[in-house]
This record gives sequence, structure tokens and C-alpha cells, in this order.
Amino acid sequence: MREHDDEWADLMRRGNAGDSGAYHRLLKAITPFLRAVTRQRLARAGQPVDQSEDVVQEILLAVHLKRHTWDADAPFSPWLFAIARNKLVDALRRRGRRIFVNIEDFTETIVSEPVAETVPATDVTAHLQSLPRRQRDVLLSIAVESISIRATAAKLAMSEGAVRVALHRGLANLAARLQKE
Amino acid sequence: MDTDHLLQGLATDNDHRERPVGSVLATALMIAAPVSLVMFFTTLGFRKDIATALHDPFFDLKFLVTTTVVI
Repeated sequence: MREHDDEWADLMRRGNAGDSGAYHRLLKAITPFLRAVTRQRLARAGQPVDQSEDVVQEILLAVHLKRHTWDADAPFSPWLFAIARNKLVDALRRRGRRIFVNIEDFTETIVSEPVAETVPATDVTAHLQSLPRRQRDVLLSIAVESISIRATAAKLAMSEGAVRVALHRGLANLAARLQKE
Repeated sequence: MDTDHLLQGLATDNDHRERPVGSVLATALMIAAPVSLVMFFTTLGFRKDIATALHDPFFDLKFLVTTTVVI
């Protein structure tokens, strides 16, 4: 994955500077990689790989909420691997396995062709139901229905600022609930 | 929720940004340093034998030890 690092670091820098398009591309680029590593690790731990999408989403949420901790002068991959590794360990521990994940596993992973039979994630969806109504409505509108912040604000009769806050709190709440699970 | 949908949500939330740790600490220091200086001068003040103590080489050592902890 080393060859991707410059590209990822560049996208991340632009994302942190406010370029949401670059940030979106970065997330899209790292997702297949995270998926491949997660499937591999779950399989090796004797866990059903159909839970991989839940773990991938948990990693993505953590990356999002911790993105300000990445040092723009440092390589991106080690930072990403550290988060992914910790979330994998958490996930496996919750499933009753004491497990050790080598950081080397990440560097050696080659992203295979997209896995066709990705089982939909259920954890995030389940926790979504327990969020405060406003946060849930905003998240569903923006994430699932791809409605812009402005249109969502009009639809839900909220100010744009309130929509932004509800979106961020909703995502942070989801991450917290996944962690507590 | 699909991962693609989640990504859409995360990307939209990119406007919301935590401040870098360094800048948070720097701000905290700028507020805390004057406050602690004021507290020092109002409640403690310099010790009375400060002039004599300054000539003692061991007095400097106290600052040296503290500085090494900082670094």
C-alpha cells in the first residue's frame, strides 16, 4: 500500500483544508483496502467474514472523527493502519476473541477485485434507530438520500447550522454507540 | 446503512473540523501562563532571600531539572 501513500496524504491534506470532494475521494479509495484487510483478518480469526462491513464502517467513522490528529507532514498510511488495527482488535474482542493483529498485515494486503457479495452492514443501521430523532432524520437525509445540507435544512425546517451540528453529533453518537456495544 | 451512504455523510460533515491538537494546547498555554503568573505574584511572590539564592549554583539546577522534564 506504500505506493498509495502520497496520493492518500495529498487527498487528506486537501480534505483537511476544506476540500470535501477530495476527502470523499480519499474515503472511497481507502474503503476497498480496509474491506480486504478486515475480511482477511476476520477469516484468519475464524470469524464470519460477513461482519466485515460493520467493522469497515466503524473504522471509517473513527478515521473521520480523528482526522484532525493526523500530522500533515507525516505519512498517511501508518496513521490509518493504527486506527484500523485498533478497531479490528476491538471488534474481535467484542466477539469474544483475544486476538493480536500485526501491523504488517496491512502493508502486505493487496486489494483484490471488489468483493461482489458484500453483506450489508447492520450495526450502524441498528444504532441509527436509537439516535435522537433530529440527528437520525438529518443523517438519513444527507447520507442515504444524498440531499444537500441546504435542502435538508429546508425540508426539516431547521437552519443550515443546526443541520450541520445534528449531522456531526449523529455521526459522533454512532461511533460512541458502536464502541460501547 | 450502505458504506457508500456513510461515506456521503462523512464527506458532508467535512466542514466540521476539530482544531489541531497543537493549536488547542498553544491557546490553552496563552491563557494559562498569564493566569499562573498573576496567581504567583498575588499569592506567593518571590522569596525574601531571592538575591542570595540567585548566587547559589544549586538554584539554577532546579530550573535545569524542570527543563529536562519539559523537553
